[in-house]
Amino acid sequence: MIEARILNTNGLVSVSFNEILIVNSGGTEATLEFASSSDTFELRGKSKISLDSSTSLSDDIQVTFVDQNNPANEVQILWVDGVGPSPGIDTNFLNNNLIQDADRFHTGEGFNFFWENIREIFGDDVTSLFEQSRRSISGLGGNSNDQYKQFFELSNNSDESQSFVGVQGNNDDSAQSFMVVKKGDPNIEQTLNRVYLNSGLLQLFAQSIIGNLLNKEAFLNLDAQTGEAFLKADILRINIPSSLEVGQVLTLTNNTNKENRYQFPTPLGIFEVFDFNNPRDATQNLVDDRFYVIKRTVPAGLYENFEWWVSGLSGVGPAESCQYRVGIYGSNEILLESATVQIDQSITAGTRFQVAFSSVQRFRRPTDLFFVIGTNDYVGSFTVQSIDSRFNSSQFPTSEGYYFVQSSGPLPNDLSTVTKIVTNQCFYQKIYKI
Amino acid sequence: MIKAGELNTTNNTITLTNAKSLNLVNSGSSEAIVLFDSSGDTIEIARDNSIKLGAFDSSFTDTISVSFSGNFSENSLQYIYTQ
Repeated sequence: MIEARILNTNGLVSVSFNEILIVNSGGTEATLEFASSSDTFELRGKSKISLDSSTSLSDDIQVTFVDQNNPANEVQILWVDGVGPSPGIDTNFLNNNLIQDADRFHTGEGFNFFWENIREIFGDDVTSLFEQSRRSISGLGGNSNDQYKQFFELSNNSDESQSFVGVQGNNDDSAQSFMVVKKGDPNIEQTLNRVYLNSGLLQLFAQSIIGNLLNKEAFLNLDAQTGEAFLKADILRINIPSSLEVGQVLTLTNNTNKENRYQFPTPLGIFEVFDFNNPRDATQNLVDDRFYVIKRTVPAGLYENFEWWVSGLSGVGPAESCQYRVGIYGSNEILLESATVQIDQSITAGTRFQVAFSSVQRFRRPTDLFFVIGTNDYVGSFTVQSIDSRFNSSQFPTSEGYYFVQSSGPLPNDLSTVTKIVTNQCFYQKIYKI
Repeated sequence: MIKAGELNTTNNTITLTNAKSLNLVNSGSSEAIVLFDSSGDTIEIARDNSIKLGAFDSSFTDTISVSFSGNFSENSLQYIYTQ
């Protein structure tokens, strides 16, 4: 038998379980005190713990929130008691609790988080129960069908490291892209939801940059003129090609210019939506003896190299030169890698400098990095414009917020001595001169 | 019985007695490296991640110790297990 109890305030729950899952789904940190041992466990918001036991255990759990006035406080306790009939999953529980929660969570990662917890403890078999439960959703009224669809698509996004970031389009010509930061599982279906094509073509491309050439291959074509089956599809299942490599980019284009709607949740193994049309070139010239820092949040993944692209360089004479320095710092402001390049007459605009990390950078979650650039030893009157940054030779995705740190004074030769001085927030992907 | 506690840089060893399952939660600021004395095995738990072991067919007694990749006062590895 499975029971669930949702606590909005402090409370005591008596449990008898073989498996138990405790989820702090929001609000403030909760302290759990177990009566059997008098031990306490602090469970932060958006955290969970689960325990299995080979024999049934009984205990009383006292839940206390750090901030008892926070209305978002909520700890959910779900448990499976092996004494009852197997598998013992109670669809009434799903209908009464989980589906209703969809109304609250359906737009964000919170619901995905909750769903993953449910599946972790109950297994994939629970999916079938949602098919059973679907019939019950109509009783919720309003946009209940949409809730179901949203719920179902989130269930396919099972990588905990990813928040739900999806593409939603409507009647404009648009393109949205994803970068592959790890290979997807070709055996796992992705969903393209709510496709209502009146006309035109919806395509999903896999593209990569090889040298200066853009290799573009469409592996999904939804053509309103040729495929009635693709029209007005609630849920279309697709497979991400197994040939996709890290650094490749998927682009979903809608060139229909009609009232078409679609929704595409972030596929497995792919992180972050970004817009290729958003330029990353700084438009202002670097100034000698000043350096510039931008903060970027890079997606989780493995990074072997970074690349700088001098997008603007004018009038470097035969006796003119400067030292151009770049450094990448981790969120703890430790220098990860640096490079110095001499700019002289041999360097032309568009030249790329690629620097391999001395060891592969492994980010398990989106990570803040600080990019420092600057010129020293400037001789002459030419200008250097900066600069497009790339990782693994691929375009780098846009982050939600950008920060820049500016510092007066020269960029030191030893970049490990650079420290953050001033932080200002801005929302443009520019490197500003002082 | 459910037992629970916290390991940090000043309290980095715990002996599990007759555990039937174990959940380790790294809620601190850096990666945690957990050493199991009985086998000499180590596991790495990234920040904001957890591992779960169990349910064991028989009870499990071992001493585990933890070290952290960074020296932060917020380092914390929480443990919770059933007996």
